[in-house]
Amino acid sequence: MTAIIRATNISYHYPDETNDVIHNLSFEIKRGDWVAIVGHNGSGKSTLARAIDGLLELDQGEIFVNDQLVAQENIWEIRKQIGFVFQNPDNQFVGATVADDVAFGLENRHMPRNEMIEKVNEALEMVEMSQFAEREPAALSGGQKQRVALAGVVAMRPDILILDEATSMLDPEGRESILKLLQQLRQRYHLTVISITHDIDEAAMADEILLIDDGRLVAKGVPNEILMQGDRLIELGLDVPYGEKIKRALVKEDLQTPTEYMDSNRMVDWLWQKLNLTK
Amino acid sequence: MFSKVLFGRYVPTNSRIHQLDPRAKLALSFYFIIIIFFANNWISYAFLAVFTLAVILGTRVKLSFFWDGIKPLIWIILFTVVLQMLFSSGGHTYWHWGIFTVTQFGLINGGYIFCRFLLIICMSTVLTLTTPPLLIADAVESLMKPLVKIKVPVYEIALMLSIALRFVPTLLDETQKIMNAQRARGVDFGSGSIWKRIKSVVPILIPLFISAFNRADELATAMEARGYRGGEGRTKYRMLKWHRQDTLACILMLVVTIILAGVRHY
Amino acid sequence: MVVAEIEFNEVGFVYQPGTPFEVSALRNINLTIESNSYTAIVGHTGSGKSTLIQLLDGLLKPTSGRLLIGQSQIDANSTNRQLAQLHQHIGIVFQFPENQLFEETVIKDIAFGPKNFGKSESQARELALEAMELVGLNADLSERSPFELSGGQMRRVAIAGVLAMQPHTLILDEPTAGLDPRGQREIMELFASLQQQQHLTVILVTHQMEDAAQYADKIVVMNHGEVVKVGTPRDIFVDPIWLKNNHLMVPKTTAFAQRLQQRGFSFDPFPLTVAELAQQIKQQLESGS
Repeated sequence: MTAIIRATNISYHYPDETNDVIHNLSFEIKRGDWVAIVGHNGSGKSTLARAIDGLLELDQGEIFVNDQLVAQENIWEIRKQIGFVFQNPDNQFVGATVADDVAFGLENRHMPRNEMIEKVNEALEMVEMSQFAEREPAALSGGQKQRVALAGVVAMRPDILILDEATSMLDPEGRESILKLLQQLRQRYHLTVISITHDIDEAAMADEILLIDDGRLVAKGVPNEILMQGDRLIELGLDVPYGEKIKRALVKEDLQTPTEYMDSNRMVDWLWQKLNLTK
Repeated sequence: MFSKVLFGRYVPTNSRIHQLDPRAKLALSFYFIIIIFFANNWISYAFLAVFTLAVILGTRVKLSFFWDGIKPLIWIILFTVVLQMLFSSGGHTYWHWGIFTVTQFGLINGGYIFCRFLLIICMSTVLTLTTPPLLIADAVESLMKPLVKIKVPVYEIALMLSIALRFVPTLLDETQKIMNAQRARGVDFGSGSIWKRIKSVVPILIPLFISAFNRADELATAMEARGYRGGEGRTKYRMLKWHRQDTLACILMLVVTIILAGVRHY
Repeated sequence: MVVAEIEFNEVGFVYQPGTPFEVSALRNINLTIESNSYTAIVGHTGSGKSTLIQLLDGLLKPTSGRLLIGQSQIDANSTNRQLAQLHQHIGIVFQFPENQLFEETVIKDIAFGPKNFGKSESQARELALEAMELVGLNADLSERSPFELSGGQMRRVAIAGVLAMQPHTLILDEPTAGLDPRGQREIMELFASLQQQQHLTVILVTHQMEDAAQYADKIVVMNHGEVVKVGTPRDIFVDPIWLKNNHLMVPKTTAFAQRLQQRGFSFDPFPLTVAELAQQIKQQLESGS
């Protein structure tokens, strides 16, 4: 069994609405994979993330995390295995200082103080925030606050990291640095990463992409398969990866282009070869 | 105008007073406020004023800045003092008109009340000036700890206090943003009749409440996701440390008390 | 409509002067923004952009220097009345503008600005309906509560609330933040058409260099409270090293063209959009140069 998360026929609707936010979804996520759940705002992708962490009760279907059913009885057991980083950096910062915030989850686990100090220091070092340990959140940028949120997760040693649009409120510099950090953390702690996003460049970093629309799973596959379907991505309210954008512009100029997925690097190589052929 | 008020603000000048244990500072500030009420003549007030001035100088915050910071509050004190003077009796009567009388005792009492208020404001400003809100919250928790035995939810209160303090700058920032947005849409906060002014608060309060509720909701979800299940059994990352200088500060306060007791009978 | 030109003359701004909290946010700003132009202001967080736009709208007044906006001059001695006049003619869409909504219905919220500036109930309603159409909101929504709408629709309501005041200048502070790609595209297209069809002056504050490159005709680069460079997108984006030194991202098209240049392509003029890039690539592949 390599699936770390399994969902079968799950549905959910908000109490005051009639339509399902997620409808009859089934999928599996392999241990150690980076999976991007992609869809436009309001497509149901954030609701899905909350369902995995048992933060809402499903109308129908089951989710298994590490072969344990997500249910009221073992909710705290499940949450120990999942680290969650939310969209708004301000609204998940509980502690009065950086160090206090990283310690919050550990305090909840009743960890002795000495051990806690060690864990907090180590986590802050991992996210390169040690020199900010005593700072208050008001003195930090959005990107720095998300680093602290990641330190709080790392300190808890979960198997799974769920990112609910964790970079969407950051400026490009902040976003880039967080994505780089995520790659490092994933390697170091062998994390399974589930990133909820509408950023197509972020999705391109994944091993697998789940496309969600209107609470339904509309496509699933490796990035190369999904990302070359430009028309479909636009139809779903998403963007086209940059390499593909150039391909589409070249097609408009009546140039013959390869049919397979082209990221920026491959596009540069291909154009260079093409230029050499014409010389 | 309120941007100048110093009370409640932390100024990191890193003086010796900054380095004291927050429990010592909180307890001693309270203690000082209590003994102010034992001052009974001009000499005892003068003594306490000199001591307060020495403490203010000890914070290494510029005196002119400190003065500017408490000036707006002095008007409020003066107002209460004047009321007090107009309605008191005893001693020689200087002036009388309808229900108002100004008497000798009234003037003296008014002067004492003014001094008392001023000293209290100065000392509590020193406390917040030299202690980050977080540490004040920690000190409150620590000093309240004995109440756990009589089932007071001290940990929850402390966490609430700490979260509230942590969100003060965030919400102030938010208020400023909403005010700017509404001013840009033509709301004039500074003028018009009282009714108009009250009405102009609505476009700020509603968005602010909505935002605060959203934040609270998201924060609660985040806390749950991070395993928060109530205060019971939670360990604590931050620990306060009592140093020799804190004991010294307590001894100093004891000396002040003894001298005060002495000058009372002068 | 009188369209105004905006001029900054040695403008400086200090927060809380004379206290230990004193911060100098802007220094020696000299800048002209022509009417009906599309200007992008870029710079990393804390470079002074947000102070600059607050000065423009009269939400702050300069602590030194002066601003000329049309006929009016704003300096340290300007009265609140003078500042208030700016609000009407200069509309500002703040970051996450949906956070300012408060009325029971969409139409009331949009009509709030015009009413504050002395329009009658029916005139304000009229302006609100026009603004709804401009931003592409269906008139059916007018009696709905703004809080029942989707995030994208709420943003449009907030923008309509600014447009209903009929400003001649529109300041946009990260107007697409938090929207998904479709929402971002639609909103940016909306502003471009407002500039062209309604002849508005548009000032865009953004971190998205692609948007600055695509839409603006002039870019103002800020760093540490000063204007460090003003120029056309081509002037600004041609030098990736300079951009990095000023904490700015290099637009994807610039970066891509640069990489092709290293592999033997040559671009003149330097492409700013994917379409321009594709055209020039095609020319070079066909001519074989």
